[in-house]
Amino acid sequence: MRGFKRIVPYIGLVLIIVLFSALTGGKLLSFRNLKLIFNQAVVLIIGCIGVTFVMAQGSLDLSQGSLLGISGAMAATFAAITPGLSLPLAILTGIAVGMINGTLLAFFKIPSFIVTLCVLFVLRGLTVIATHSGSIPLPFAMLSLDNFRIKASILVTVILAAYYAYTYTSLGKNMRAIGSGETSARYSGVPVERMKVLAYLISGLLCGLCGWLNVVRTGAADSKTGLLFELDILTALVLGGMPLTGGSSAKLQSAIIGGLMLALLSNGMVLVGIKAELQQAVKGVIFLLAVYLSFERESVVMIK
Amino acid sequence: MSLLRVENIDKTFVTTRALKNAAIIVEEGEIRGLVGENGSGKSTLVSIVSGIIRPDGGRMFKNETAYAPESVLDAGREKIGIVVQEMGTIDGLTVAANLFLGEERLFKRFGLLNTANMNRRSLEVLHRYGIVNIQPDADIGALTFEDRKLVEFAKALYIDPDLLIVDETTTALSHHGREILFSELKRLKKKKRSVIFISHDLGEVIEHCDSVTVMKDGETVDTVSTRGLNEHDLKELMVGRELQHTYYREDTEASYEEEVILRVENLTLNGAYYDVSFELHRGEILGIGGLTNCGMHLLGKTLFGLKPATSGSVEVSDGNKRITNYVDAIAGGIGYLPKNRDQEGLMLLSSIRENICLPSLSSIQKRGFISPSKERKLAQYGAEQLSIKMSSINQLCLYLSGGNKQKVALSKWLVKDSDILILDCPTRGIDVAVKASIYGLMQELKKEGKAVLVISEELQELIGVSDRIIVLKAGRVKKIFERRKDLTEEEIIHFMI
Repeated sequence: MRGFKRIVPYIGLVLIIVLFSALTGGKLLSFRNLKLIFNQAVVLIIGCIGVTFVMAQGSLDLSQGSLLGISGAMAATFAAITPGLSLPLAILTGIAVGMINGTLLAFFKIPSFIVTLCVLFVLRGLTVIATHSGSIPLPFAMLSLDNFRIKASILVTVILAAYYAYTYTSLGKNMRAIGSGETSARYSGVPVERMKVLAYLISGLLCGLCGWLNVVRTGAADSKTGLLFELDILTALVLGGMPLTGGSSAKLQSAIIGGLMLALLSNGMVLVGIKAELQQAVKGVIFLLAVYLSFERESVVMIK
Repeated sequence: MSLLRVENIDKTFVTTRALKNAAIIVEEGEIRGLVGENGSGKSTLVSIVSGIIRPDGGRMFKNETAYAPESVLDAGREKIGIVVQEMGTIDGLTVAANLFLGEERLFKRFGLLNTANMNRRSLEVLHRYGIVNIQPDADIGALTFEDRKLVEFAKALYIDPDLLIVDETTTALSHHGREILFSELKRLKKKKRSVIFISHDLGEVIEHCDSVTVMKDGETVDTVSTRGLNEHDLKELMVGRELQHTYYREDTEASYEEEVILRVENLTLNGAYYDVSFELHRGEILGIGGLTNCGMHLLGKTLFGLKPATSGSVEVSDGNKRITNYVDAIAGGIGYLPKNRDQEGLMLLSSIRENICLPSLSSIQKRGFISPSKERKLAQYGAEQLSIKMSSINQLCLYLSGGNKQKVALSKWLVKDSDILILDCPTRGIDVAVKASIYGLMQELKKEGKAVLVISEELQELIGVSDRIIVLKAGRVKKIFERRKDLTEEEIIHFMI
């Protein structure tokens, strides 16, 4: 049964590809469209990888959407001074927000759901202020950064580094241990508070990177940039087989395959001609369905 | 004619077989004891009889007619009542509302609940059973655990049950509460009603029951009359073979090296323990005993750096390091087996491998890289050392038996090669075979020159394994006993209470 559960996301991926290929008469897998899907998937997968570290501990990070907005705004604002400042500033913004999230959770003992939801609100407000309720264009020279090679190498680097840290170091193992049983992990010597802050720091850092990638692709930072991105990430992760409870069955593969699935799904819906408003509704239903199918009701009482 | 006849009941939870062919016959006017080790299936059996859960197979008869309750209310209609082991009352309601839960229609008029009437009836009911200190309109959440249990008891009694089931309740009751309980049981018996009484206090069972049914591993193995029965015989029935005392140490004198490995000075945690000082030596098994709330469990947590002391110090001799947090404690060579195995000792949703390796990750990593094969070897070694029964080291701990869980929890410190082991109730809720292997292990550690600190509520165990026993009373060291041949429980109890 466990083995079967592990391959369900892969089956889902194949089903999505087959379904939309059929519905679009093969347009889904055309070269032009694959490039579109890739663009969408890069940001989604990197965002998902960051949140994986948080979810492994059984916590949530819902601040992503606004973090994407504010880090993009920071990138665009500072790019106007020197283009070289844009990437570091976006990442620093992400790290700072991650530290705040992690600290509020670990040391002030506020549930992660509440902390990151509040931060989501606050950052959206700041994004609107930073963009003067409009948008900040990026210097023309920077648009050349939006090329396949750069994005592909960033994506591969992030995947490899994250996979290594998550699977082969005490960092990843400690984080999953917290998800499996926080008290027991502590009693086995896991520095729980430090790990919690670290997880949000990683999540924030990668989201900052996403903010930069996004602003480079669209050419401007907008006050609405990243709206509902946090829910896209959550949906993608659950589709990819990530347990909401975290723990030892939380796998990094979920981030990659889930991100890919949602990118395909969103793109496919556009191709088929489903209205944007309806797309959100469909995503919501899919999210609910994925949670229903993957939720381990028996083990949930054992967790928190 | 038997009042209750239960035949061939089976029940499986996920993968654990809780009941196998369980059977019990209770006669009219009989007080029946039900005993067995933890996990032997007592609570499951009575939960089925009282309709809380449903069996997978088997049949039940009440007064020789088929009986298959779908809920507690069903059972109540058949006049079978239960006082459960856990909390059986509902917070946020008054005493009266709890008492008449499900029976509100008795006090309803035109859809409105006549609370005054209900309170009046509640007071009558409570007084009938000699419970005079509880007000019907009080919020039940404000009552002590004992008073809540008494309310439950009254609730089970007022339906005038043919069969009353009392599941391990007496430990929550004071002397006064027990008096009420036992006098009511006697009254039921006089009225030709029956009782099933579950308790771990075998003396109590023998004194108050007519006969006793023994359960083991989900089976009802025997039913005997309590006339002329003694506790020792009953224990033997419970473990299924003759009790051997040999699993304790055979030597009768204290022996340990001179080298001090852990030094505790004037340790105080306000509200828990005060001014505790002692030295733990290499090759010593040091016992700490006392009543549950004497502060010894919190003391164990402080020694491992989990619960900061108000004043005083804990020092490991290796480099004279002071222990103030758990990371330092582990680095200083201390391992800790908590009392609460499932919440504190193990990550149930992780594999045996992950549990065993967790504290040792820092020592098997090489420049940050943890090799999966090294991890596997370490876990395999640990699991084999304690002969953990498992399908593989990748099995989740969730589905292990209590004894095997305890072995995993212990194994992580053994593979870490900890010099000092703090074991809080190491044999709580585990069977005799695993108990024996844990005692054996403690002696091996002693031989290797490690030090073991055992915190236990079982005096027999402390006497059996310790070189010295520190007795705590209300958080203060009352006496330190050296190991000797004629040390008795009575002698120690004297300093505990």
